[in-house]
Amino acid sequence: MLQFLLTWALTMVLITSVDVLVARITQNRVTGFKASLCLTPLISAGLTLWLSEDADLYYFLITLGIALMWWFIYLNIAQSLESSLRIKILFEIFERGGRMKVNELKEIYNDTRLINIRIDRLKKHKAIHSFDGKLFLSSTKLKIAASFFLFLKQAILRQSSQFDN
Amino acid sequence: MYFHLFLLLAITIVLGVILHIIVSRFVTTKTLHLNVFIIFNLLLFACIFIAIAFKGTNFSLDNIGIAIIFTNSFCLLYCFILVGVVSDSPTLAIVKAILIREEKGLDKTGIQQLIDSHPFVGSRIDALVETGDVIRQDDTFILSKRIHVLLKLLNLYRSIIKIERETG
Repeated sequence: MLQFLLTWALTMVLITSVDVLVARITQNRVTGFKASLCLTPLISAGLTLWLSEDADLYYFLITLGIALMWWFIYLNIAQSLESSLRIKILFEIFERGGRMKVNELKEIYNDTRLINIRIDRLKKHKAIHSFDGKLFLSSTKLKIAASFFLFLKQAILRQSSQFDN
Repeated sequence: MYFHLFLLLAITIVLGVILHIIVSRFVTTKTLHLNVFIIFNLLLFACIFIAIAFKGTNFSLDNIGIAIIFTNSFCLLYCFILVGVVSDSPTLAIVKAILIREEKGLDKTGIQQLIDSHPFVGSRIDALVETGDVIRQDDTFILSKRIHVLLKLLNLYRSIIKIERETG
């Protein structure tokens, strides 16, 4: 059990270190995430081999599963800093000493501005393109992601949007 | 050696997801995340009991410990996915709006309709007030102490990564 916990903890330390290091060197967040994901199986297998004497194929798969799950959890937390509206609002208040006037916040964050910023960002990353004043989808990955979440939303919540009701 | 443990975890995860989807269709979204931990852990122990009682499988305490960590790690991961399922993401809402119009494309009227029908900012602020992360005092928003500590940690991480924050 101690070996398992040690493998898990060390894997997490190494995965996050790789991400932070690569992101700082390349000044690109996505490169950091990709590098840490690619190295996760290697780190996990290496540590399992080093720390566990009685490891078999299934033990390797279990430790790899744990490592990949925690990479995903880390990715979500790290990414929320850039993409989560809730975290952005919280930071806006945090940077003003933890207090902020309602009107001041609503001036910075309104739906029109938010949607336009996101459209610009999607265009910048070439996920969508505009033609003849209309927007079209270019990214297959985004199409899959949107379809996946729509499927889950309908399966779990029986609605296609939180604003349906 | 670990084959039975691997099988136990695979069965727990697959059945857990199916069971959670079924249960979620009948219960309120407020308990959606809590249900994940309850369902998966109950299922794990039910599977362990069945394996020991009816199949005579031997699970050491170490194996059970690993199974608990694995299952609850999956629960956490599943909860992160559920956040995206429960709350609409502005980016995915734009993608969805474009997908609905397919080859016609999303024009200015479509964008305005999207904005009008998706009050993202208001819903996020309401959720923050509802969870107690932000306290509204007359015309001022105040961060709760709990969230202040969390934001300090995230700020430290941000300063290590050295990323400039964007609005929106």
